[in-house]
Amino acid sequence: MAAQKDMRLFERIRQGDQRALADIYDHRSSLVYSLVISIVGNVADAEEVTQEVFLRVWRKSELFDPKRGSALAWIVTMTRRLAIDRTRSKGYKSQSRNVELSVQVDEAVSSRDYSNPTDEMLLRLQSGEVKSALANLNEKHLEVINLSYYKNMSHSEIAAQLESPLGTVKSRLREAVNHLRNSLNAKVGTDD
Amino acid sequence: MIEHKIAYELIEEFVFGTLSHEEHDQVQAHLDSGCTQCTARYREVSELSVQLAQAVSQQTPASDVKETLLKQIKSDSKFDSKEVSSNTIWPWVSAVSIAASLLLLFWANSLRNELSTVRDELQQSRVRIARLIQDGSVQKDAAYLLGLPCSWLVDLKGVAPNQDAFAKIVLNPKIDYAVAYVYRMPPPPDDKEYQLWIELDGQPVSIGLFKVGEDGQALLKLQSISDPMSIQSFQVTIEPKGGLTKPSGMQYLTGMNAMPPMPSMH
Repeated sequence: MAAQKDMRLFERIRQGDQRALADIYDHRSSLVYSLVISIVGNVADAEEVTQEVFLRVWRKSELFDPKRGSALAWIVTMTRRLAIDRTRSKGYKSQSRNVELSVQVDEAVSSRDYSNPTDEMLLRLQSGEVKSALANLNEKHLEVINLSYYKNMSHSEIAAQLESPLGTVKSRLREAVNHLRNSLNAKVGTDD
Repeated sequence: MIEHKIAYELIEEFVFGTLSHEEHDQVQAHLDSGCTQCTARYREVSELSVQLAQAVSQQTPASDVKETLLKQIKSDSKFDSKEVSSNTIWPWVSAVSIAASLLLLFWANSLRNELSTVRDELQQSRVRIARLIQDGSVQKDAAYLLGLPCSWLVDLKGVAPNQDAFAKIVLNPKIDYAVAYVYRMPPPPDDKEYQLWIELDGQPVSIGLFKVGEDGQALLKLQSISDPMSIQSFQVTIEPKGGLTKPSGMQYLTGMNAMPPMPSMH
């Protein structure tokens, strides 16, 4: 299993094995890079952040606690934080988005009316399973997932945009996450 | 120290990476304190985050990204390299240089072990401090509960072969949380956790997972106890990591919710 492979590589990285870092890079760099570029929107920043993610895997692997989830979940969480930090940094220019994400329409969502920005997000996703789960959310849940996960907005930014109370945004996002988990049969130790 | 309720509400943002640095560090410290509810939620949301990330159209970074990264880690002083590059044996290496290399390796290895020990101790201290602060906060809640009129204590007794274990839970009909003191519990295996259940209308309902310290003790704030008087009994079982929706494992503690008579209005 890929999750077990990640764990073994982490063990070796903790012992200072550079080949293990090269292996985990080969194994996970596409996912990391794709996620980063979907957030920062340009190749130069995406490459730098991708390097930073794997440098941290090398230097801070001891902070990973398997009791809190898979190694991949730890990497993805760190990746999002570093990428969003980059978009908030002084030198970052939001207009530098120059990468088009490939569009693969899945049958599960193709029947929807894509007239609003939330549905545009669905079109960019390539996993039929996730697209289908997202498409089954109600409009309000889909909207907060889109703003929070794919538009990288904080609770308070979402509340301001939707002109909704902060508490409503928090509970709506929690419900949306729970619905998605149920829908995807999310399990501890998600594997690819 | 951030309160549990606030930390719990921030877990989605913590995982999605949208918190400020300050809030991120506060939630991290709360997780490091060993909060089982928040850790379970973190695990759920972070695994979902992986699935959402995998749904994004996949692209491959340019090859020089890896080359630059590997150059950086080769010059990184954190570790000495353990990479054995080839089977080449330098034919000209003298006995003196071998001895010097061995000495260097020994010294580097000692240094790395020392660094590793210091790092572990720092991490353990951080966790201990966070846990002490968390315990202090729960103690305050417990003191507040105990000082209120109408609060009562429920005794949970150990079930054989762990009859030495026991727990006391403080409840109040007007407060939506309870505090539990747990003692003399054996450490669970790595793949298991203790789960606390309440019985409502004859059905067990989970109110959370918990760990015990090396001393077998735990101090827990039990959230969302909306109607303590409707609880019929409590029990603690051992379950797989992450917990279950119904108790399946061995029972460790059990106790009936015996409320004292309410004070008369006259």
